[in-house]
Amino acid sequence: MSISEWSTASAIRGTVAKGEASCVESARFFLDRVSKLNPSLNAILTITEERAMATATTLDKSKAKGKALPPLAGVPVVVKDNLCTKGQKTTCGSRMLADWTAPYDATVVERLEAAGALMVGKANMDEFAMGSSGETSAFGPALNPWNRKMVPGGSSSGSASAVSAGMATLALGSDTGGSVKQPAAFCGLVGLRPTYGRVSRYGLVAFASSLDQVGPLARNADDCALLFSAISGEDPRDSTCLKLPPESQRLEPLDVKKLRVGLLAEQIGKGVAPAVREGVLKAAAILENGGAMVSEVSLPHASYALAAYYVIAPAECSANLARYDGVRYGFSPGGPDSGERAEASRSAGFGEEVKRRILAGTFVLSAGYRDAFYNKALFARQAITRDFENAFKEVDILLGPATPGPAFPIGERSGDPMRMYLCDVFTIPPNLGGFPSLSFPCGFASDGLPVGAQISGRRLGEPLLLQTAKFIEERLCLLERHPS
Amino acid sequence: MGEKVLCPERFETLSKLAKLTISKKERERLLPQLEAILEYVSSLKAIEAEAAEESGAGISALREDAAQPGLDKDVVLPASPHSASGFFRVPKFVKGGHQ
Repeated sequence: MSISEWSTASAIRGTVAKGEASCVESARFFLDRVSKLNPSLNAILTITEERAMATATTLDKSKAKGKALPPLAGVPVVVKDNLCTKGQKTTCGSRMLADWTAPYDATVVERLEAAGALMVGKANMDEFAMGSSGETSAFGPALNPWNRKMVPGGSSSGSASAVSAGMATLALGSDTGGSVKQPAAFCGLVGLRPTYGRVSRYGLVAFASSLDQVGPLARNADDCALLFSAISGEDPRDSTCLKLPPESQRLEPLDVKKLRVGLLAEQIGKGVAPAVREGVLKAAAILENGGAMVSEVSLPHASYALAAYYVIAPAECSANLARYDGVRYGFSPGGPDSGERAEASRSAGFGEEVKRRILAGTFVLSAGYRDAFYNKALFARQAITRDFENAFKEVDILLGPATPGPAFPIGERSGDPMRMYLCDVFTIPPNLGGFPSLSFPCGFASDGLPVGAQISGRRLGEPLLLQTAKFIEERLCLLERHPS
Repeated sequence: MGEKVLCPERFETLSKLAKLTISKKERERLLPQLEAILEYVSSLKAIEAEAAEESGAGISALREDAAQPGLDKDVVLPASPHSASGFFRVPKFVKGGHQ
């Protein structure tokens, strides 16, 4: 069998199509790898062996009958544990939902399996997707395969760790302020945060509804495009989902000579690690050498983005998480009246970061403070959105770093929330405006940890972002390096 | 900044509003952390309040307001920590009256 842990999605499908390996063999190969590596990496919370084997068996039978293979046939995928999976635990990395079994599949999970992907596990994550390191998970942190003393980033920590370690070829994460892009950068992966509304949120457990989007993680741009194609498109069950067909599976070659690139020079100055700066400049040089026009661009209000996000996201979280009252689902120790039962459930069920954000959100929405905080944050969001719209009149994409530095040691920032929040300083701005953005590997720091660059584009501009990432990836030649 | 926006009394009110019991030990950690976050986000005060149009990503749509089938009781109730006879069971929330 010619499937390896580092095979691309299209190579695995090709191997299956040629009859050199079956889907069941592919599933077995990756499940064995999960059994071997997961005890030390803690990337996967629930191994969904039965489900992967059942999907694989169905696909093999269908192939034997001469039916066409779907685009992700036999490709192993892990799914972030805030995406509902029928009959499987969906914990959101929280004690609150530790024993909750989802009664239905998220639309993206249905689409994944319809596309032939084999779900091998539910990925560890920061509790309710609130965190930038994976450390707020109630089930212990996932580790970074490049260096197990380091965090893999978050909140899609397990998704990134699993793909980076070759336990799966693809993963689904969710990105509210950077939870796909930032762990992708820390683990040497391509991570796409789609345009708001391009991918259904039905079955994604809500954190901050005006920002949450499901996004793919992969080891290269082509694989990322394949997964994005499988999950994108209209869904009547999510009213914010755009009425558009799925994105195309194949990436057209980049017309680099027509590309106008805005380099976010203000993001590569002080406070950014040298390896990150060099990687971003190298990516810019590759595009420029190819014939693209590269110019420096400024987003005047981007300095407000982090503050705006840490008002808007907690405000929405405090409202969304009000549903955990110990009645319909979730942890509940009981209590003599409704109020006390809700309070007891929430106090014991939520971890500290979730409580911190609920409290912050409750504060910024409370009488007397709403104007000073929440409404100001909405103004900032508008101003930042306009900055992007103005920039996209002059350039096609914006290029800058995904994070200020590479992955940091476990425990280094967990006691200092503000320092942790600063990890997301570059990933947040495009998210506030609903613009698509993508992080891709652009080099390695001196200690061997990967670093990532971020490109953002006009709404629905995902194909251009993926084409650009592929163009750079083919010239940077980083894909052959894997964690040992 | 200087002036603190979150005194211990206000913190108590907030926890009540958020339906969270915060132990003394938790409060000792959470209060200064929240204070630091609120001080950071106070930088927003400097932003000019320009035309306040509808905020957000600008992409939204509503479906027809028509009833659609939901999940079956048999599927939903087993997830509840307290259910009985086909219903969610909640403690009495009206004080007094008949039992």
